[in-house]
Amino acid sequence: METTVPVENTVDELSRDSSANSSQPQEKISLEFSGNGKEFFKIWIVNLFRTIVTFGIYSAWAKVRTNQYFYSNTSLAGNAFQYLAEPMNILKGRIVAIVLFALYSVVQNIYPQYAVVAFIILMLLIPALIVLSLSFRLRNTAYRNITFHFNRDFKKVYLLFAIPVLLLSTFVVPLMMHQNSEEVLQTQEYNEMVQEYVSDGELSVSEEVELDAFAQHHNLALDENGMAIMPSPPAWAFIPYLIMFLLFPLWDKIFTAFKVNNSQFGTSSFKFDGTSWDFYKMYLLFLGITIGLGVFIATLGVFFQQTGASTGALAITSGLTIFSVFAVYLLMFAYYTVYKHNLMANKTSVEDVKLLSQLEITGMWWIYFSNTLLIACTLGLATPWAKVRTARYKLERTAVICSFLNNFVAKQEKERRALGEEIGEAFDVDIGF
Amino acid sequence: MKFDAVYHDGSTSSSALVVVTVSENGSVTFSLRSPETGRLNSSLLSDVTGLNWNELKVQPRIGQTPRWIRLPNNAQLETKENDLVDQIQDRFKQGVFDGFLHRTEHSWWMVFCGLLMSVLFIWGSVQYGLPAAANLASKAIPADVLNPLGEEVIVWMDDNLFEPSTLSDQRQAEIRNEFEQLFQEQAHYTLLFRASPRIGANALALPNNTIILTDELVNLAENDQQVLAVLAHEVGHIVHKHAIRRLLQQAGLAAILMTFTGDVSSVSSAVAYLPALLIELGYSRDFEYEADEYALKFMSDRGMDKDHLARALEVLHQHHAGEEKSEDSHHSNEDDKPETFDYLSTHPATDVRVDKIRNWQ
Repeated sequence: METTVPVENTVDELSRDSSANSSQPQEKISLEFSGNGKEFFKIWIVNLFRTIVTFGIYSAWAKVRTNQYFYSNTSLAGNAFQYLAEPMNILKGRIVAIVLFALYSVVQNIYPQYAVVAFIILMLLIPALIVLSLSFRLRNTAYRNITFHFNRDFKKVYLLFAIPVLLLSTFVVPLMMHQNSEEVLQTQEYNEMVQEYVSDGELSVSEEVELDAFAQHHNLALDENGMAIMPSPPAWAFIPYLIMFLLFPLWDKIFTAFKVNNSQFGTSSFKFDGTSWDFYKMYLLFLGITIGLGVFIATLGVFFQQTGASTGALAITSGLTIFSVFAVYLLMFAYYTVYKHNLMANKTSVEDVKLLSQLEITGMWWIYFSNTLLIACTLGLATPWAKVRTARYKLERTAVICSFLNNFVAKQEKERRALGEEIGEAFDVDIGF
Repeated sequence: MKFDAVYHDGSTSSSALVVVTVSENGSVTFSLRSPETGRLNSSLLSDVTGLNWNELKVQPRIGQTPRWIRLPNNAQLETKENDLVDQIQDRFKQGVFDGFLHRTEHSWWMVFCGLLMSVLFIWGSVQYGLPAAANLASKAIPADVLNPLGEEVIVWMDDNLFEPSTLSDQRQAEIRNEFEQLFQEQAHYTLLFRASPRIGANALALPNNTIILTDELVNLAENDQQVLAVLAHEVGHIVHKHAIRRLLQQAGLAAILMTFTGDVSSVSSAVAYLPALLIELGYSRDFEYEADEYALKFMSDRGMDKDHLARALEVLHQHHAGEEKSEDSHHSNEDDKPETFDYLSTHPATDVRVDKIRNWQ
């Protein structure tokens, strides 16, 4: 990185020791989190109260103060992060979002003939909203008085979403062909006839004869209730979906790279060097774990039910079954979150600063599991503690590896704020970053 | 007054330790502190001189987090000396609102009031506000808006739960006649007969003015008056528009819970389902009482004995309780589990209902 940028005299003294030492050994600096549940509980409950009495208007201020609390309590090498968003802007965005949503519901309920059009318009907005929300969040995040940025590459994001959508829409064709095939139509006709005859009482002899003739003529198979069995679509109709399924990890990799590579700290861009294989590995393992746990849960369920039925304690054993399903669901959730978080961070660098994330599945699972129980038992009052615990766990296992952090340069040109970034924020499309 | 801070010039990510001195007249000077020795350097920050505290923008305080003070040249101070900064603010200027925000978030008294008000508000809107609003809204909504839904539900249930009725045409006509005579001055209701070994003796009201009666219920009832009492209860569900009110209340509940739990999604959205489920079961029980009430009024207006409804409930309860025990031995258990669970909790305890009915005036 260039060091020709003029640095103020007085600050130069400090940065001199680090500006010459790019050969110095790299050092691991962990993020530190100093928030605590009690303090945040007070902020949270007062925010909630004000949001209620202002009919939701205060929610914009509540959001800013909550984010400021978490950002300012997160520090790296002694300096804290900073959340800069203005509550007024968030409020404006939320109002626009609510108006849009109301319009959408009105169209859906009062002009149902345009519902499809409204839905398509909404879908078309989603990629733009993702980019806008990323941009809003990064531009309002600062470290050492230097803000982050997101390069709003609308063309690329639409391309990214257009390809799978186009593929998917062509995939509908084989299923449509099946739906309109002779056999399916005849089956439907037969079943409608049966419904009609049955609805006015028992079948008369003539009706029965008519139905039999129809079924025999068209070679329809009947089930034990006398209804024709709907033929299932041919297996090849599902091949396109299989292709989609197989390509998803690749798409996820491209999308992740899009998000990381367009992010900047000052003038420096983030770089993502994860490979497609990294993503395939993640999803393959996920699939394996899902199947494994599915079998485990099924076995457990059968075991519990049998012991329950034989001992008469069915309520207890059913409770245990539900409890283990819940525990396993959280385990899968923790696996995905942890793996994705680590993969994303550990393959990301900015200049010569590398990110390092060492979340563990069991640790994350325990946080989720105990938080859920805690929140459920306190009817939601423990939510602030849960949020602080989660943040602490994630942040304190995240670090940067670098030799010095002093040489980042702020973006000089005053960047024009894109109209509608606040709306993106209101929809809060998650970025997992 | 003096306090320690970190200075960030806003153009690079380097930092400097400074001591900020605010004099009696509000003028601000910055002296450097050596990062190695911690000793105060005699040199002053040269690019920020002649500033007054009034020109600085101080971030409102939040908890014990470090605070930012923005200088006119876009540079920034970061300091943990919150109390000192507050004192200086009090002296030279104080955003009334900003100080207020922190003070109220800090005091346990305010926290207590907030907690009390929030709980009261949520309880009040869940218990009274939401049902009343849904009731009002349901009157404004055209009666036939849920017809397509009702029709779809019938198709689905015919595919999954029901088999054609095995009652004789004559028996069906008998019941249909009695039913139509009783409800002739009302809107037209469609009565359907179905057999269902899966859900057993039961009657269901659908939003499109359709009532489904299972063969099992007809056979179980001790007389036709009991069947009619159950049908009157189902008509009560339709007259009071319970289907659409349930939908409206569910939507409202989701909105309230979202405000309350905020963006708790990172923890697990499963958490919000539990209270929602319990509240919805409560609503469901209220609907049952309301339908009972309707049936009782209807029956007493026509001189029918209200005990038929109480008796029908008792018979149904015994039937389902017995079924539960016998089915466990031969059925695949996973199938009937949700149904018994569902039945027991969406409907109030039978003895409570029966008592209410018998004491009704």
